[in-house]
Amino acid sequence: MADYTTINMQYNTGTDASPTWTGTAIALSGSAGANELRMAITGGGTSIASASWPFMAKPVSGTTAVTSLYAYTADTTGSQVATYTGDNTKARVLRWNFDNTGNPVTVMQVGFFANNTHTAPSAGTQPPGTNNDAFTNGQSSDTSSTSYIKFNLYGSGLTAGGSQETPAAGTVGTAPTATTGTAGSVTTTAGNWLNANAAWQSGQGFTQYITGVAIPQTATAFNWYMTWVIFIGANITAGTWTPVCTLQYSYS
Amino acid sequence: MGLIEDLLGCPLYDITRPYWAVKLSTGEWICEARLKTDVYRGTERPFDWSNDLVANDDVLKIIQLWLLCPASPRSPFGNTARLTIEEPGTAFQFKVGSVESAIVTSTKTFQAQIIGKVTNKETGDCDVFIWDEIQRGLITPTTYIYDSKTRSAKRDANGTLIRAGQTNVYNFHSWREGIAPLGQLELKTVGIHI
Repeated sequence: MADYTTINMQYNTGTDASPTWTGTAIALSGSAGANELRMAITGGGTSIASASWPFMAKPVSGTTAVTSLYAYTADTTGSQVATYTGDNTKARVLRWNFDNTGNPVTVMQVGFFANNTHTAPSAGTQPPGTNNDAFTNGQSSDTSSTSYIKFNLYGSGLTAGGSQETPAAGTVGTAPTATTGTAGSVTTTAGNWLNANAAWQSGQGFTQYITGVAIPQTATAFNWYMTWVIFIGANITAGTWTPVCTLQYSYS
Repeated sequence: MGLIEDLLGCPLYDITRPYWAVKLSTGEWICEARLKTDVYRGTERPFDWSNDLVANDDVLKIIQLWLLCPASPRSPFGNTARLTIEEPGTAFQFKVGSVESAIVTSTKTFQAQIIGKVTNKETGDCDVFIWDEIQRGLITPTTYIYDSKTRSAKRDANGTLIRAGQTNVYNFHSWREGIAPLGQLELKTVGIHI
């Protein structure tokens, strides 16, 4: 045992009460529109080529949540993440899936970046600079310079003793707004959503991010449940942005 | 052949990733780059820190811990780092990785490999060498952390320069942007007995 052979993100195509995770892993190393998540407010679908994906119109004022999320396994083959509703009413939306080959040696951290250079976002800066993006930078009046992406994680997925942590269906914490976020890391609550089922966190690189509460047991497969709400606002810079959700882990 | 080539089975400049190597008090050398027979599976696999050093307590016999690093723009022939281990149970090794999965194609990235030794068993202070795959370079116990905001070496609250290769096993720090602080190491898993 050493590194995990497989870590991927799975998405729920069923309901919150009866989730469907089978065959829903976002595989690694996709290209040309495959193996990616896409978001839409209107006009999204399950057979749209990546190059034809609809633009999202910015609100005239204030902010609004992105209301639908899709996962594509090929350029024109996708599924809707049925429990992503742009709010906190569903618990089983996404999950990190780990096989039983890894031996983690520290807690894990999750954040959002513009791309895999992991360049620190420039809080509040629109338009963003090189290796930054409009979503993770946020904007002063739209998001109080937190990220437009809010997220939440449940426990550490697997406890040090080897117990899988799985949330019940239903509401997740306090409904995030576009300004939700805490500087630095917020550590998850064991067997619960962030802040004991209260405030969410902003996804802004490793300056606003989430840390797991425990080091998962070695050599044990598990799932770490996560949910997002993505906002756009009147002051976000228009363009094509492809932020990434980054999981950092250590192994011996 | 010299020691490094013996350990790796090839010249240092031929490797494309870093490997750990150890000398035990028995005189035996073990290197991650070499294969061993897995009697359970009937196959060969590379030597593994957890299975082949920690699980059988051979980690307590380490008297030298090496990191053999690939060629890079700053070290065209590769690089080596060596820690002499005077106290059993103070040597450790681990790696850092990341997975990106989201609104673009998914990737898995090897970020860094770290060897270290605990220098103060009461506080957990340690010296480490870090091969940073993204920076393509070896960070030593005397390397300073660069602060992109001030464009100078990073300082702590007391104004003291922070060295990337001097940290603590109970609160392992970040050495560059893009790496979150790692926090406490799982001591048993990395081989620490203090």
